[in-house]
Amino acid sequence: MFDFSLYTAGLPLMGITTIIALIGGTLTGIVIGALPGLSAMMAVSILVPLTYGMTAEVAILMLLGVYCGANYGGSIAATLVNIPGTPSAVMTTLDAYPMAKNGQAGLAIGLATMSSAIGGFFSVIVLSMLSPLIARFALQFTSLEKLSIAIFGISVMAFISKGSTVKGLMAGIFGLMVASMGFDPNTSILRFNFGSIYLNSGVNFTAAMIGLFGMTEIMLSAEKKAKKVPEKQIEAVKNPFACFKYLRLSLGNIFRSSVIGVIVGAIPGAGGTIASIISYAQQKKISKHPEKMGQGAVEGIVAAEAANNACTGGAMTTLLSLGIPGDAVTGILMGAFIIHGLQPGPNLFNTNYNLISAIFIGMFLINILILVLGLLGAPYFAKLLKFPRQLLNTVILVLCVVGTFGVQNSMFDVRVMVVFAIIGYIFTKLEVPRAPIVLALILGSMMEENLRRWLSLADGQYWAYFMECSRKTPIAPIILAITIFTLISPLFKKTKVFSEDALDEYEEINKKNS
Amino acid sequence: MKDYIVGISGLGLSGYVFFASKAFQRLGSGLSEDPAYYPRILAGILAAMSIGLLVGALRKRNKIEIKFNRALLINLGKFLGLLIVYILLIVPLGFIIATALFTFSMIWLLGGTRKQALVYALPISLLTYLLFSYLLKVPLPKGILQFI
Amino acid sequence: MKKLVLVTVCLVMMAGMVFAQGSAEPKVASAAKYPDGDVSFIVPNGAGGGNDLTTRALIPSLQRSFGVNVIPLNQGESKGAVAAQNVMSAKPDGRTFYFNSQTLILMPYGGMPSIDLDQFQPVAQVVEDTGVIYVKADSPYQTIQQLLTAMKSNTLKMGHNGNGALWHLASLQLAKATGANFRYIAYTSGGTQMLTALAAGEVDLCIVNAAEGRSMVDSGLVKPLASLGETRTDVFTIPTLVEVGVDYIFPVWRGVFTKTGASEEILAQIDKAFKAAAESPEFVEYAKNNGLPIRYRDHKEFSAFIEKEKKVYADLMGSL
Repeated sequence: MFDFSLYTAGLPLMGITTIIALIGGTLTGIVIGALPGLSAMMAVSILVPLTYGMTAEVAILMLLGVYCGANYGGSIAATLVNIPGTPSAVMTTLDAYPMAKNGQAGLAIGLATMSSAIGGFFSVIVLSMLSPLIARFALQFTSLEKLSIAIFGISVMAFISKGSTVKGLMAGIFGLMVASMGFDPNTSILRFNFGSIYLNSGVNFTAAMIGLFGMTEIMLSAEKKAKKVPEKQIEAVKNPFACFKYLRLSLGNIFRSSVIGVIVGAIPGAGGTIASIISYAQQKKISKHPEKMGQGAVEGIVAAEAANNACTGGAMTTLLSLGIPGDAVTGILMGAFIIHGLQPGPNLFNTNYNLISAIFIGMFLINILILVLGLLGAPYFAKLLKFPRQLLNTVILVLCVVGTFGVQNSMFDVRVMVVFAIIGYIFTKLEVPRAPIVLALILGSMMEENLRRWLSLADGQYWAYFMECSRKTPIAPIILAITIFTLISPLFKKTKVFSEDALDEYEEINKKNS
Repeated sequence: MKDYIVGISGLGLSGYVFFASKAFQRLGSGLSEDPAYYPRILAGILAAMSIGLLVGALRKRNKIEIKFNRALLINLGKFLGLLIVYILLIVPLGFIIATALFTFSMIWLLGGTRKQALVYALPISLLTYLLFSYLLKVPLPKGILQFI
Repeated sequence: MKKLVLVTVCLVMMAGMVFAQGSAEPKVASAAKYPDGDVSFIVPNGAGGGNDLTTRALIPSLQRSFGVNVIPLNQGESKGAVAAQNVMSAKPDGRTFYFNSQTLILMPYGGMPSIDLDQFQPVAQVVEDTGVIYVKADSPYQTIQQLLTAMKSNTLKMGHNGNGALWHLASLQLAKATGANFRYIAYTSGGTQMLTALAAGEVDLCIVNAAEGRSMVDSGLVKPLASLGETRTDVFTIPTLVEVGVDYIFPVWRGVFTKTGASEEILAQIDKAFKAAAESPEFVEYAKNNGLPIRYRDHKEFSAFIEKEKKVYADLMGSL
């Protein structure tokens, strides 16, 4: 009954090049994650262009390494400078920084490493067990189900992104409008190309992404004055192995937090940040010493880090089995799949069986690598924080330009990238979230194609055809109902679904610490 | 103030989409054959939200103005100017020279020392060139250095 | 501020020098020594797709023949319109190659009237593929005869890959040849998406080539019924349409073009190189693994063939 070939078929793909790419990717990810201001999103988007010359499996595994590595690496800056290296490490700062101030920076990083790796490991197990099952089920999905999933993804993404829900939704619609540029999917008539053949098929996704998340970040970070590097704490990163003393005590916590991480990760649009906020709040509720959380408690670090790394597996489950990115970073990963001629989705389990298997094996290895590299390399990663910002920013700018050029050897794309960098900058200044744009750009064509196709299948009898489809499988109406409920729920309750109390608390504790 | 800007731009964008989509050719009578159908739905939703945002902002009456920081704007202008000049020069000058000049000035602009700028500009440019053209086989423009 | 002015002035001066120099010495292509520099090979699709892989399989042998680098350039933007535009503005020195199929001939009809087919000199055809008619694995039509009868009496839903695209034309011609009447449903993202929808029962049949459908057939989701080729395909054991009495074949050719204007001497050298490439072990193995039938035509044969194809499509598009 149970077919083990899914877990071994990828082994022949794990050649020496793949392994080197995997290690290189994970290491790069940790390094980028460790540097404040460089998020996982940016890491993956500027590294996608580096993979053009590679075969698909090498490229995908390298990017997965970057993704998981960066998610973990954020905890290093969180511990040492009290800045989350990536947004998802926001809750880690609460306890890791006080612990580092007490001279236990090594232990804090060790704990983060251990729980990240175990959380990630757990999520890969879930990924490899569940995604084939969901995929088999999802193969039956028709245009209506795909359409409702796309609507759900974009609504949720806009809904939970930071700041105002209305602005989040507006950002999502903006992304959908951009995605509708170029040939109409149903009639092949040109729309919104502004008279340029370069825009006949719309804006290049990778170029927009690099602009929004690579270059915009640099523009924002160039404005800020760099925080002073706490030399003393960097030197104090010693003996991270001490964390294993706490392993037995924390197992329950890690397990709970990982479950939360996987579930949140699997929801389209919700990523590591939300997962760690929820799991931190949860841990505080059941903790025996809730008053100690926020003052350097072991359980705080463990809960936050296990959850945000467990997100990776959850997000990949949705990506591989449904073809929908689970968070913004997997959205960019989806772009990378497409660049390499692969369409993520249930059919990938038929067409690229070995690759899927290699992804499972690769993600197992990545989490082992995080454990090994994290524990052995902690003192060296800490030293990265001393690297001069202006050099780093300049190098990233050059990489943004070359990387975008390389997508399709086009200087036009480079201009598109700069335009999107400016858009991203203005959006940030106006407090409109950027993340929904990513998801909208990637889901936009899926949404319109399926909508218009469904309309042409219905042939004028829209309501009758909707009922006919719903009788076959009730999935679409259920998803649509959930979407509507999510969108109108704030009318009944003042708070958001993912309570902002935890975030407020974060800000309070953070004030006290600094 | 921010909400006003966002709301008004949202209305403007949806208005543009609505009117621009009038010109699209229709292949048949069905909704599926109308290229303007989907963009107009989006424009409608965007307009509704913009109005909602504006109404909300009016009711709140928060008069927090955006602070125009002149120094910041000038710096942003320099940053973008440098970037645009760089992009325009990549093809005629070639990647290596344009990038070296760009990194030199950008490190300087971002607050690095003159020494840093001098030391790092050429190596950064050469390394990226080698990485992309030889390892990743992206044919970067050679410009005046046609012989390499 | 001073620094910036200084740097800008430097940059502008440099730029001025470049433009002055660039116009001073135009390059002259001489047939005596061909190719006199690296050759670029434009692929109108992204990396990893069918056309890209086919091009990359030809390149090792071309490099051996030419003795220079052959650089693949992926320019998939705007469905290949930008790539085609770049070929039209290239120098006619035989150093810019372009890979495409029927899609090239269809471009001027599909919202890209600026593409002038006379600017493309056919150089070599390397592949002749065809379409296969697929149905869902548990479809009520299990043989091609059952399907043919059904499509004359009912309006079946036919999946295709976009208005005016390759498989749309194949199905239009099928309808013309059999007198059937289809409801056309567009799957613009391509073959895989179309086959998935077929497996989910959203459409009744669709036409895609053999290579794309193979993995779905192997996993028992869809079933091939007949091919549209002149001869049977090696990938599946199914009849051709001609065998079951429908007078209709749909050859899908893939070949190489260059900018019109290269001399006969250069074209003769190119012929030699591409013939060797089409017979090279790398290409033969690639074609075998991907179920692509190799068919080589040199530039004269290919040009004559293209002229015929242009007429076929002009008639077809005129009748739409």
